[in-house]
Amino acid sequence: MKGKKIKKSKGRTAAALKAVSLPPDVSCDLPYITLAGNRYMSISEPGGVLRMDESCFRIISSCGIIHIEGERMSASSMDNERILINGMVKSITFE
Amino acid sequence: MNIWKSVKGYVRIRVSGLNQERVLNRAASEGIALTDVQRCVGGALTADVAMRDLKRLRIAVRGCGCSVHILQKHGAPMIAFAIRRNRLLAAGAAIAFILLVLASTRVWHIDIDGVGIDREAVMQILSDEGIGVGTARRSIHPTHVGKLISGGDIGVVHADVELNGVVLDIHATAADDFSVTEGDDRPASIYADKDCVITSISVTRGRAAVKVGDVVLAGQLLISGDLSEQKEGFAVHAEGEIKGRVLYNATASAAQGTTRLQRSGNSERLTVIQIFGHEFIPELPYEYYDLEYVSRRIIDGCGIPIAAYTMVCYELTEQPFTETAVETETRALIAAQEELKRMLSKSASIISVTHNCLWSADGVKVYLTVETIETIGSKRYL
Repeated sequence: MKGKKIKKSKGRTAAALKAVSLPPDVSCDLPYITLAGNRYMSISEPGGVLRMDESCFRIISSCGIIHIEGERMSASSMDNERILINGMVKSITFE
Repeated sequence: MNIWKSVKGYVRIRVSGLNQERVLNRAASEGIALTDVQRCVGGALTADVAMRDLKRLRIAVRGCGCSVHILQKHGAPMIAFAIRRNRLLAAGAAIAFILLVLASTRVWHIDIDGVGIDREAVMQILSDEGIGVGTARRSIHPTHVGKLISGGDIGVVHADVELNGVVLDIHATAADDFSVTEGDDRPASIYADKDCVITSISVTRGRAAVKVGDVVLAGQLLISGDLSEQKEGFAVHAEGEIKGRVLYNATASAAQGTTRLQRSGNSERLTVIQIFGHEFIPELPYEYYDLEYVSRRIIDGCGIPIAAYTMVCYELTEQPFTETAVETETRALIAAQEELKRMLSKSASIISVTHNCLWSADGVKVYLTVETIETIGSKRYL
């Protein structure tokens, strides 16, 4: 019930932002995912790390679990604001 | 980032046990930044954590079912801790630091810049004032030194003096650079300094001696400052702007080449190191060569900007080659253009360029003609 309310509220915010011609990422609490080629990846506002090894990262975010597959991956920096991932990123899936 | 990390000091830790990701999440929720987080072969996690955050991390991971072990300690606090008992080393480091601070309060190089400046005379003025290598920076007043140099009767009309760190920069302007100085009211006339056709003339002071469309020769009077026909003996400092169309001609010859520098097939791979923008190039193995960049690699992690270039140096030797007529003409044209560049003044605007080629048994001769519009005229005192 509570989850539905949050979803509804976010939908309204997005609609309101669209109505005033503002980009929807202004206040929808979505994580920013930045990729530099397939070598570096940055995820802002991570909720937590579910799994971390050389070939797979699973990170909780406000839009669900982000599943990253790759090779020789490591986290060059990790705090409550951002995770920086180095390595060969092969795929990103949202679960 | 790495330098700052090393200055503050950091610890390499190993997290072992079940659910190691929980340690990462707890660290993040406590605001503890982890860097270089890697999964080891044995299944444990390794990461770097700032020295000041280690205690908080240990408290945060309690009850996780994981243990945190210190693998290595790095950074300036560790070095300071290690040398604290070696008094000689610590004293040496302290003395070196003090000497560096003291040395930075003095001038260690005097750089004098300017065309036609007698550097020894400038140095003599400075030494008379007690300024030299080793003088304290705070005892030097740049404005005062500038006035001393410009008023020193050594042909300097203006001197910019600036203290840049331990370098005293002096940029002096010689009196010869000012052919006509601002505010000069001595009677003068303006004469043509090259042959041209007048395209525009505007007289601010004096009397125009030519009009638009006139063909003038070098040395001909353009604006006269002598106004004695208006009043006996009356003369002014003539001023105005005269523009004219000037023709420049240049010729260059070139014989049809039979040999040319070409790659011989010998080559060597070289590595060039670049530190702080300065390149260290190894000795080149050939007299004539052609360099080709292969790759560039930035070496990070050592705290200073170092880049390594790999390039191939190909040997060039004279080899038989029959040049085409177009190539010979192009070579001659480039030579003519180079000659013309030396003749053109900086203010000239090129309005047309034409060239003709004349072939003979010896090769080709190129006649290059450039038409410009430029400011002409030089002042001469009456």
